[in-house]
Amino acid sequence: MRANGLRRVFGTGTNRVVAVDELSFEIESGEVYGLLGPNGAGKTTTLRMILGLLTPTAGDVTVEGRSVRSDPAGVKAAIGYVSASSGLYEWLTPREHLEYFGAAYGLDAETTAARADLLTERFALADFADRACGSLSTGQRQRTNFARAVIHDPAVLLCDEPTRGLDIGGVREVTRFISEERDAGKRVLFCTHRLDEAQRLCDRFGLLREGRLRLEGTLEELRTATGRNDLTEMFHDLLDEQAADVAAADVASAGAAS
Amino acid sequence: MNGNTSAPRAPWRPLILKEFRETFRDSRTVVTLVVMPLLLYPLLGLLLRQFAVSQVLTQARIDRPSYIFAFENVDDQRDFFRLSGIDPPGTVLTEEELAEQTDWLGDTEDARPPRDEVDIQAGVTDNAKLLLANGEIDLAIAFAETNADVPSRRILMIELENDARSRQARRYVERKLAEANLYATVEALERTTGRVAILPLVSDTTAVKPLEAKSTLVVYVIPLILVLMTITGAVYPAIDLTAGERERGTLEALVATPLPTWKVVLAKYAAVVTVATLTAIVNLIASTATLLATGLAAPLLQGSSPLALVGGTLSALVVFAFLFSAVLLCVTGRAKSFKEAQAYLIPLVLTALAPAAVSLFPEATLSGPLLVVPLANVVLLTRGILEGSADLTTGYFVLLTTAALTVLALAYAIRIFGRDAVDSKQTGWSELLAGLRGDGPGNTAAVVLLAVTFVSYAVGSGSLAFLGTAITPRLIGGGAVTALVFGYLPIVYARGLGWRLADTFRLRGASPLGYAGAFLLGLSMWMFAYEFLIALITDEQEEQLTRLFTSFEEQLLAVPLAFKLLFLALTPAVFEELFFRGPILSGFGKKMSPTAAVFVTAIAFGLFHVVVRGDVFWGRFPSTFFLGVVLGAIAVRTGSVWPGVLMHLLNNGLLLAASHYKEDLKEAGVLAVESEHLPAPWLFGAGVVAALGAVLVGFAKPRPATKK
Repeated sequence: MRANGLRRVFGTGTNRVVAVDELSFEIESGEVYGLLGPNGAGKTTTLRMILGLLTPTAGDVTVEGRSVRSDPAGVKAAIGYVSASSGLYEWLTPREHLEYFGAAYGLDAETTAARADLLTERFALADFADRACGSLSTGQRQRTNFARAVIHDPAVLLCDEPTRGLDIGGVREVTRFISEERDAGKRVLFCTHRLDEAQRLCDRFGLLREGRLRLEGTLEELRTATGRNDLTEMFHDLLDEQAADVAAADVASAGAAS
Repeated sequence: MNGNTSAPRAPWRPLILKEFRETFRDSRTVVTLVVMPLLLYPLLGLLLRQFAVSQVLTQARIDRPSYIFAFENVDDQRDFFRLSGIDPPGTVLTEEELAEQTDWLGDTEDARPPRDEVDIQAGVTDNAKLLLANGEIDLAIAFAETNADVPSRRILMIELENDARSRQARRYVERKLAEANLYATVEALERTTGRVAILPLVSDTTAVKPLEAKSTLVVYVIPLILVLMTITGAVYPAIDLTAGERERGTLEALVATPLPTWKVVLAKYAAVVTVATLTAIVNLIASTATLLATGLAAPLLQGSSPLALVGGTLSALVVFAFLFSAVLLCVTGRAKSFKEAQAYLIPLVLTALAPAAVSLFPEATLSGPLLVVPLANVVLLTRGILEGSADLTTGYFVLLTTAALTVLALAYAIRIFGRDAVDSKQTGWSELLAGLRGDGPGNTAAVVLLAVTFVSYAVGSGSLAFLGTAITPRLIGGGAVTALVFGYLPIVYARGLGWRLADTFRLRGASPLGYAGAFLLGLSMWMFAYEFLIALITDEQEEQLTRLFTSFEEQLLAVPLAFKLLFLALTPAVFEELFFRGPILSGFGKKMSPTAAVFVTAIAFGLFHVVVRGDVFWGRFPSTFFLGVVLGAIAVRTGSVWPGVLMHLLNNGLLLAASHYKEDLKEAGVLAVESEHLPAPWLFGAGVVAALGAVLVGFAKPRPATKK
């Protein structure tokens, strides 16, 4: 999976905002790539462009050789999407969710059934596979959500803050799931605010600020480049730089006004 | 959710099944669907019954009954009032007389039947049955000839079938006759001699059918109930399946799949339509059962069969459910939450109720502009079905208009669904338009364009009624509507979608052979189209045609031929050909074989021509379909629209000219006075010319397409 020169601009004139600018990165097979950054850094916009939900103003994303510009549906078919905010249909059972999303990803009934059996076993859904999702516990819902996201056995997994709002047990489930996907040779793009988690899970990192990729590399490479020991300290530096930039911009605009 | 090249094909069954499971497992749907009607209608029935009883009692107290009787002759009238004890017309009772009304049997000193405060009007007529059937009198009364063997005077009464007032009048007379007999008996018994001959009065009753069906309260109210029922059923699932997706957070996962929006929306639409229809069925059954159980069916339906009412209402209801469910998805698809969806629905329901309320106006009929007013046409059709006055052809027209609007509403619902979840440039119109964009139209574009144009044309031609009956403004208006609907709109549409106008509308010229062939076909084909029309037309359709055109034709004769040719030949020839043999034929031709595309386009061409002067005339379909096939074949063979324009112009022009000079032609002996058919030699000649034209067109080769 490769993002090449991605750029997204919202609004025009004085309302013009560059959410993502000249963003390029690549995720290898069996690699978890942590896309990190403070609020407003451009993570969600990047994910939405990769998913084909937003059209890039410039640049492109290719997944499994398919371009999101020319073949967004083909790109979507190659991606599994997991998010903390993704809900489930209250009146449908986990098994029916798998059946529905299997169809949505274009699988035939036989393939869907085979994948559903496999995932039911992998995520231990059997005990509640035929219960309405409205009556499931948070952990059960989460496992159902994972199974739903990989029903089509995607080559790439996009995880948007999948641990938000979860207790320690839930976080462990997510971590285990992502590790297993990596071990299965999948490319995983992992977005989170929980830096400790990212540090444990990701193989490489991209640190975003104001839509631009400021730092990229393995943890060791980032340590060498920044002189900082962990991601939290690197993040603080990023935020300080951002604050300094804002202050400088304020001074400049005040000077221009006077 | 974009549809494009490598999007996997999602099977329909699981998609629809999911929407049905989500809808029917929700207890709130079940409550709306089953529990509410089961509780609501018995309660309403009881209230209605109570209301009806109190109304009847109040009516009895307040109203002074009045009846109109008709007799065959003055003697019968005189004898009737004398013998029956009914006060003749104009009798005014004094207060004392009224005070004597009770307990007359006990008052033996002055025994006489009670006298009623009933106004009677009476008259003599030879046409009592007709007056009765027209509702102008309440009862026709006559004396049968006295039979010596039977010691009685037989009174014959004729009442109006299924008419409450007439029935009351008859019962009143029967009661008065019984009282008169009893009085005579009592009087006789009082006389000790017993020599007074008692001539008992007996009566027979027959009934006549009313000339015009009388609409009952139910006929006016049911269409409104229908709207409310369908709204009740469809609203909740529509909100749940659209705004609910957002509120639950399931939309995000859904838009992340390659499933195209149109498939998602159509699956949801199937669920909403099903619930709406089922709700209406349950409501209809519950309301009918309540009417029957409470005994309100007879007085409210006034003799109509409840089963017929249910069947008729249901058929119109399904049509309504299809349109309304699509409109609901348009509205709820915009909402981000249940609350927002409910806020949007209030104006929608009010908007829906306004045209539905048209059914409450007895003078509103399903014709002219009302034919194409959504919802109003459906409720008026329902009323027509209930009254037994619905016209099948008009019914089909309403179906077509509603289907076209449903397609448009669904297109809009697809456009807006999930819009906030994805880039506005990537979904909705863009997704729809992405399928329509390109060098030229495809199947979908042709269908959407037909739907838009059909509605615009129906509205446009219906609006011509506002121009009055004068011929000149109507001709100019008709020409303007034709140019606008078939010319301007498709060109705007084509330009907006980036189609190549020259290719889409086949604007390039044809070879001389093509023009020559079309010229010969234009000279001849109108005769076959005309013969087609009169051969296939039924008596009923002929009557309709006469009704539609009698005054029009007379007015038209006064218009100069050149003026008629401009607005009734040239304008339709140019713009209809541009439209039908342009984007429609090109669009269908993308995936179909040229022959299939020609036939499908000809069906559409024929359907457009059944709208005649704000009415629907199906008799025109076969001949216009036939012409459509010929015109389509010319366009395909020559690769140009212009030979078709030439043939269309000649076809219309020659028909107009023949009509304009009909009397002259008859006088000159060219046309037979007594026959509607064209002379056989003409038809033979036309056959030869048409065959030659077809050969020339067959040899015409299309000019190469313009380069990109």
